[in-house]
Order: sequence, then C-alpha cells, then structure tokens
Amino acid sequence: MERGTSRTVAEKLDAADPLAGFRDRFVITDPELIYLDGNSLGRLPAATPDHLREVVEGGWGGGLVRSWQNWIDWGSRLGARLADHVLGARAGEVVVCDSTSINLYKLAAAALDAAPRRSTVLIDAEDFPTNRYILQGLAAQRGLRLHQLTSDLDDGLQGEQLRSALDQDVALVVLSLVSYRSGALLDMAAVNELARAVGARVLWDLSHAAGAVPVELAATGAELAVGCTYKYLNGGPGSPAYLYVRRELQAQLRQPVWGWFGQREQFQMGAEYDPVPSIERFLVSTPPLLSLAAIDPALALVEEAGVERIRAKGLLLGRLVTDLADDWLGPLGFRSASPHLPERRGSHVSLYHPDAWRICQALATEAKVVCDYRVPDRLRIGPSPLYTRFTEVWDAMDRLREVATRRNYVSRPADLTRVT
Amino acid sequence: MSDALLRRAEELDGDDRLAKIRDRFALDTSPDRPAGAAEVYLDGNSLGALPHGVAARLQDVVEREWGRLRIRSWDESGWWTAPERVGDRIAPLIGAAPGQVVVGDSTSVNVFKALVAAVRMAPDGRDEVLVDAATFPTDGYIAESAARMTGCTVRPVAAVDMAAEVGPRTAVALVNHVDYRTGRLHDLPGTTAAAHAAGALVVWDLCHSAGALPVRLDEHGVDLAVGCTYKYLNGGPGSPAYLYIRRDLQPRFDSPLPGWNSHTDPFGMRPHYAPADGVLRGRVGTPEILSMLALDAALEAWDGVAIEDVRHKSLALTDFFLECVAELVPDGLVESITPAEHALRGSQVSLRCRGAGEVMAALIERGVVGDFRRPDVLRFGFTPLYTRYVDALRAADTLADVLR
Repeated sequence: MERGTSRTVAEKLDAADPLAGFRDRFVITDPELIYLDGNSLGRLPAATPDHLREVVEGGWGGGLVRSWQNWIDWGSRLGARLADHVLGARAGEVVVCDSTSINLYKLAAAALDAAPRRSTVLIDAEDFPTNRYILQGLAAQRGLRLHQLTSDLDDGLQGEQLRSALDQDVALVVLSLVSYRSGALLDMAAVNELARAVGARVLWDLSHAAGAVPVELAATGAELAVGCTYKYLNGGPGSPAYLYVRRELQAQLRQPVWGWFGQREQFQMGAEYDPVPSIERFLVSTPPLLSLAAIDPALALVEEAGVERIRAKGLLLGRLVTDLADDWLGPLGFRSASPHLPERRGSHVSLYHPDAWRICQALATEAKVVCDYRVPDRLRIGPSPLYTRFTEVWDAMDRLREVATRRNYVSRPADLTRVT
Repeated sequence: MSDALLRRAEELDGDDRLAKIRDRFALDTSPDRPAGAAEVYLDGNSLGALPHGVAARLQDVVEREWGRLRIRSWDESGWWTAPERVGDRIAPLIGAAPGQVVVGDSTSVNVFKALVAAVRMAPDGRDEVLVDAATFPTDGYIAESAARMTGCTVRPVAAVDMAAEVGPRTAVALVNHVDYRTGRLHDLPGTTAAAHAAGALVVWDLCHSAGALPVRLDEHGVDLAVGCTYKYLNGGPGSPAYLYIRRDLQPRFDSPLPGWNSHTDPFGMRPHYAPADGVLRGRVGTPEILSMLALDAALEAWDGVAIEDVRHKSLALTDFFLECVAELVPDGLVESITPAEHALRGSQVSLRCRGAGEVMAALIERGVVGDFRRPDVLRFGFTPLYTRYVDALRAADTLADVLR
C-alpha cells in the first residue's frame, strides 16, 4: 500500500476494492454521515426488512404455531453457517442462542464442573466487563481463586504474562480474541497450546473478532467459545449470541441451565433431564425468533464476501487510520492506543486523548462522524470492511483533525450519557 | 351442527364486550383459504396471534431506529431502558405496581435466576426446593439444575398439595399458576400464604395465566414470578420472558447471572460487579431488541381491555365449548381433564381421547388448530381477545365429525 496522506491514496484503494459493491447491500440513508461504529452495532443490511416482514406476516401471522416446524432448528442452522464461514469450526460445533453473557456463563460453568480438582480461573482484568462479572460470580459461588491478569491497556495480553500465570491448578482461562478497547488480537493457536500444556481449558470471547478476522477454532484446537452477532456480523440490536464447543468435548460437558431445548425428545416432556449428545445440549429454551431471524440475511453478506477478503480490506483500512493518525494527530494530543502492527489488531483502532469523550460527541454532532468512546480516555474507530470506504476513513480522520484543531469541543459537557 | 347451538353462539358473540378487540389481530388473512372458511385458531396458548400494529412498528424499529439512527437508538429510541419499560407495561396485567417487572431472556433462564436468587434469600439451613410435580418439563429441569448449584435437593409435590408440604427445610417452591396440560388453575393466594407461614419463598410461573385471568402478585405478596409473553400476551415467536421481583426483595436479589446490563454503571467498565438498584438487577446481557419491541407493540392490543372482562369471557367460552362437546360428541369418546369448577379453571380445555395425535392432525386438516400433548390429550386454548363463540362451536362440531 502506498504510504501517504493525500486523499488520492484512499481514492485509489476504493477503486481497487473488491468488496466495494457490498456497500450497496446496506441501508445508507445519509451518505455524508461516516459510520465508524460497526464494531458496536453493525449497519442494517438492505435485505433485512423484507425478510423480517415475511417472518412476521407470513410465518407468525399466516402460519401461526405451525411455523415452529420450520423455526425450531434455526439456531442450529445459523450456527452451522457461522461454523463454516466465520468461525473455522466443524459441523455440529456451533449453535446460536441466548446472549453472550449467558453463553459465557453456561460454558464457563460446564468447564469448571469438568475440572473439579483445579481451583483457579484466569481472566484478563481489562476484558469486557460482563466477562469479568460473570466469572467473578462463578468463582465466588464455587470458592475458586480468580486470578486477574493485568494486560497492557493498549497492547493487550502478552504471551509471557499468560505463560507465567498458567499452572496445573488453572481450570479455565477466559479471554477475548480481540480486545474491546484496544483491538489487540491474540494468537489463538499459541494461547490454546500454552493452556493445553498445563491441562487448562480456554473459553474465547469472539465478539470483536467474528466477521472481521479469520477465526480458526478447529485448526487451533480451540475447545470453547462464545460471541455476539450484532457487531461485524450485522445481526441487529441485541441479536442472539452463539456458542462453540469442540465436538470431542460435547458429551463430557453439561451446561448448568437445564432447559427443555437441550432435552432428548423435547416434546415427550420427560420428567428427568437427559440432554442430547450434540451441540444442542447447550441450548436452554425458545429463541427470540424475530431477533434470530435478522441474522440470516446479514450472515449471507459475510458468507458471500468471505472473511479472508474482509480481513484483507480491514488490514488496509486499519493501516490508513494509523498512518493518518501518526501524521496528523500527534501534535493535537492524540496517541495510538492499539498495537502498532495491523496484523496484531482486529478491525478497530483506538486513540488516546485526554478529552476523548468530548471529542467523540463533537465529531458526531459537528462533523457527522460516528465512532465511540470507551473509558477512561479512548476513542474507538471501527471501520467495517463490508461497508466502510477508504475515502470515508480519510474524510473521518480529516474531520477529526479539524475538530481537534478548532477545539470547539471544550465547551461541551464532560458528563457521560447513560449509554456510551 | 345444531341450529340452537349456532343461534346461541351468535347471540353470545353479539353480546360480547370484547368482540371488537378481534379486529386488532391479523386473523383470517391466509391467502390460500377462501373467505368464510377462516381457520379456528385455538392454540393461542402456545403462540398468540399477530396484532396488527406489530409489523409496522417492527418496520419502524428496523428501518428508522436501527437503519437511520443506528447506535444512537440505544439512548434516543430508548432501547437501553426497554426491558424495564416493557416490564412496566406488563405489570398491570399481573397485578404489579411499576418497577418490579423486567423483560428479557427466556422463561427458563428467568426461572433459573429466580430460583437461585430465592435460595440465596431463604433463611439459613434450608436445603429443599419444592417443584410442582406436573410442571411443564423445563421448570423441573431448571429446578434440578438450580438446586444442584445451590446444594439443595428437589422434591416434586403436586401443586394442590404444595401448601401442606412446604416445611421448615423448604427454601423455595416453584409452582405453575395454571397447569399446561390440564388447564387447572392453582391457588396462588393460599399457597403463597402457606409458604410464607413456613418461612419459604415462592416462585410462580405465570406462562398459562398471564393475560388469561387476573393475577394479583402485589396483593398476595408473591415473592418472585416469571412468565412468557408469546401466549396470551401475543408477543410473537420466542418473545422475551419477564421476571417479577417484589420491591422489598430487590435489594437482596443476588442473580446467578451477573451480566453487565445489571451493573450499577454498565459503561463504567468497572473492575468489580456492583448490582444496580431495583428490578434491573434481573437483567443479564444486551436485550434482544427486535423481539422485545415487537412485544411492546403487541401489548397495545390490551389498551382499554379490562382483565376482568377477559376472565368473564374466558370462562363463558370454555363453558360453552364444553357444552357443545357434550351435545355434539358421542358419549364416551372424550373426557375433559379440565376442572368444571370455575375457580379451578384456566383458559383452556383439555380432552383426553384415544388416538389424540391423529385426531388433532385431522382437526388441523379441517381448519381447527389446537394442539396435542402426549400421551392422549387434545388441548384447546381460548384467547378471549380474539376467540369467538362461533369458533368454539365450530371446533366442537369438527371434533364430533372427526370422531364419528
């Protein structure tokens, strides 16, 4: 890629972008507005409204209860597609259900039950809070030691840190493949190998990775994973999450929320819980079908584009962000808050600035650039390769430079809104 | 079909105060069915019919709130607070004052939260979870898993005996307000009072009662309750369930699922879990917004509807259906397992019959949709917001035809 800060660099990248046509498959109502927050909530795919209308009017309104004949295995079918196209997993290893927090709880508890003689859980103190809270709850309830590793806020967890914390007492390691704040990308194969050497299990949170970077659950020997579908997978607000359990492990593990969707011969209504041997044993209950349905057309776009091509573009988009930040923003009080090498990041880049919150607000309201803020002082810039153009990134960085130079943001309230 | 019964049905429909409410639902719309041959849908106790406003609201949520406002909608469209807001909309239907109901996750997950939290709140030394012996299976499985996690044992007890069986070892009893198979309505005030007298808590499962009959959680001092929203509340397939936590118990509600949505400062990304005040400590992860707001729109069908009128019609409909069955179906072919006594009846009629599976398939073939519960039960759900007396008659008449 040509190094340079001229807009023509971005224009050339757009002209050569094999994924450029995918932008039209999303609803873009205001072309002036630059949306760099697809790492929080992905854009609406153009095919989604019609699909949902058909499910509501045809499936629910017309078919009524009979439609469950069709709907009942949607979680499994979507899981199979995720496994095949997004997660590098094998058939029968992924299912879509519940929220990420609930899936994390189920798999963590199942893994801890299977390792009764070990008493340590390793987590990253800088991981997304729900992961920490859920594990804090499980550790407290079971009297386990929760060892919180303090990873570098910008550069992520280092292999040496993990290595020195792993021993024969560790039952479970919970880590995000891509850090929600810095975007730091871990080496899944290396972490799995380190953990395997001491007999510990790793539970991966793939929320900020899936659909942005290639994930190879099967090839890296990963055993457990969860993640959400509303970021780079564009499934819509609060769309159901997924979980992965390595095939060889499924029958040995039992998740703790015993619901009827995990039951053998579910409609026999047997009195004793007797879970199926397959991945569906990790299901609990009736899925929120309309939210689930929205994943289908969204996933079709990722499948068509292919994660390899998405990643290739994501690397270039990320590099454009950091090149422009390096050249323009240093004197304005910014510094990079992400790993420097694009290969060590997911699709988003974080910048440090002491006034990140107010700048983020000013960017959105004065400059029509939507990115997001993360405590304490980080601006997250999240290009989503399926619909973000290189020229959008260039323009966004240019507008950011202007907002930071004008310093109008200093008159904005410093109080955070309820949802950041 | 008897002319007298048909005249009665038409008269009853003519006098029905809720008759117009049926217009709020998208029924009779199937394109492959000739006009006048509309289906009789008696499975609203499994999946409620589609209220008219839902499709337009969902379109607005998707195209404007998600498509145009995107991330801003978490604040500006009130997505973040939807679980409590929709909860407050359900609250009057179950006799709860505001601030005690939160929506999200499935019924099973909420039963799990409620049972584990109840055991944690129960007096020390109690190690027994009582569960309705005839419960819908998921409640029984969840009770087992919650008990296992909290070091308790499960003891199945018939719901009618629950009040007598609650004892000094009981931490919590999990009871269905209406039995899913038989349609029997259980004694909520009496069982709750007996449990409290014994120092135990009660979790009520309202899946088959909410929206079908008056439920008075506050009045009877119920501790915790859960229920689904896709039956009598018509929230749509798999619409999220709700959890009721009585106000004075909220500070002690210790969820087994301390996800970030229940944190006092979810975006502070704080190192330690600190639960929020109030009912939102029943939340876990990011709410399933599309399903939740479809439910929100569906609840508009209840505007101006008095639950007492619903109950009155429900009993009249089920009475009339039983009367039609008695008159039209030859003796001895079916037997009602739903109590005849009003005080013991929910809003369904369950008939035992030989070959019930094939009989139900034949009924559905002829446009009468109920459901079959193993081994031998035909279940007919009466949803007073949109079921007519002529529907009850036609169902009984078709059943008689099929059985002859």
